[in-house]
Amino acid sequence: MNDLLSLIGNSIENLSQCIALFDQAQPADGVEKLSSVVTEIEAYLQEIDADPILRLASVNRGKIEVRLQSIETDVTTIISDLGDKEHEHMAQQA
Amino acid sequence: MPEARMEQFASLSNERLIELLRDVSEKNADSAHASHLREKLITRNIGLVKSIAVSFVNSGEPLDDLVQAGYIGLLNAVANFDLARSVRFSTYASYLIKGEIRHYIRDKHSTIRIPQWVQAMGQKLKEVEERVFQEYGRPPRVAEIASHMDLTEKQVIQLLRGRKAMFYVSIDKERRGQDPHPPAPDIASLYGQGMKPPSDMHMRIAVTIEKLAQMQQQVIKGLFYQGKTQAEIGKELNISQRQVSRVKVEALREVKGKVLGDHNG
Repeated sequence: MNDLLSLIGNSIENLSQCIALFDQAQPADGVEKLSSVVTEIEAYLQEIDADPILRLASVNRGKIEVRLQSIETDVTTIISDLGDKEHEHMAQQA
Repeated sequence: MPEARMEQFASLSNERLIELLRDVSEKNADSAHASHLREKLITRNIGLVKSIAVSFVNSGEPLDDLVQAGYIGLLNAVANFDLARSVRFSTYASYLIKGEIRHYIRDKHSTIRIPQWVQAMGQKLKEVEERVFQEYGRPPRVAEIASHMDLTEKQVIQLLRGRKAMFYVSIDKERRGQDPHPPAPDIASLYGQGMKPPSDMHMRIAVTIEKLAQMQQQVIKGLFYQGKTQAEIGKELNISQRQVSRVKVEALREVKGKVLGDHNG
């Protein structure tokens, strides 16, 4: 079970690594990092009720869910936009 | 849909809903249950539609109309999503949502008219990007663009998204002409030929990191500075003060490790 702080920490780390991988011309690995952020948020949301941090911090669970879903949306659209770029590249080459 | 059942699905993720839908399909039973799951999948992804629609707002079409077009894409994604597909539902859905919105914009305009002020801002943005790249050998950060253009960071992000959206309307035409519901791309095989992702991807990822960092700060603040004693929290949660203390120590260690690096944690 991932707690909220671990999830946020891992996500920041994965996103930072993604930028580094893009800089090192390893975009496929970077996309894997982006995907893992989405996967971890999804997994966390499934078990959010069991998170002790969330209960201890007395933060609004609904708001946390909405914010995480918004971040998931942001990352998903980045992945999807990368797909668009690939199509553009292919169209230009054709 | 019965409220109790809707509540039961309220916090389920996309993948869990897909999993449940797969179970129902395999058993070929309870179509009402499958409808409820699809309904929840749609509700769960309304934010995705809105977020994508906003990126097309510089097309000059009202946001509400773009959102409506996006909903059609979402409905298509739910209806056509192959449960055995390896791609994530959200990736597939965003693909179809964008396709529908572009289709809508194309239908409204035989030639895409880009407003004059958008063109002017786009030119200015390009100049800033080139200037920073020449000076530092890297793409500019959102804050740097905002400072150079006398805009807020939020406005810069909207500008970047708008520029991207307008550019892709024409490219999508050919793709959609061949297949109205194209499969999502194989993301893992992207850029196999040494092609580099564009610089605005860096910035968008950086903005997401900032959002996460803000959330992290708020949770820590809520955890340590809300004025409650460990005994009071323990009483509220029906756990011992010792357990409260342990969770806090673990959380602090986790945060320290992430902020300072594991070698310092």
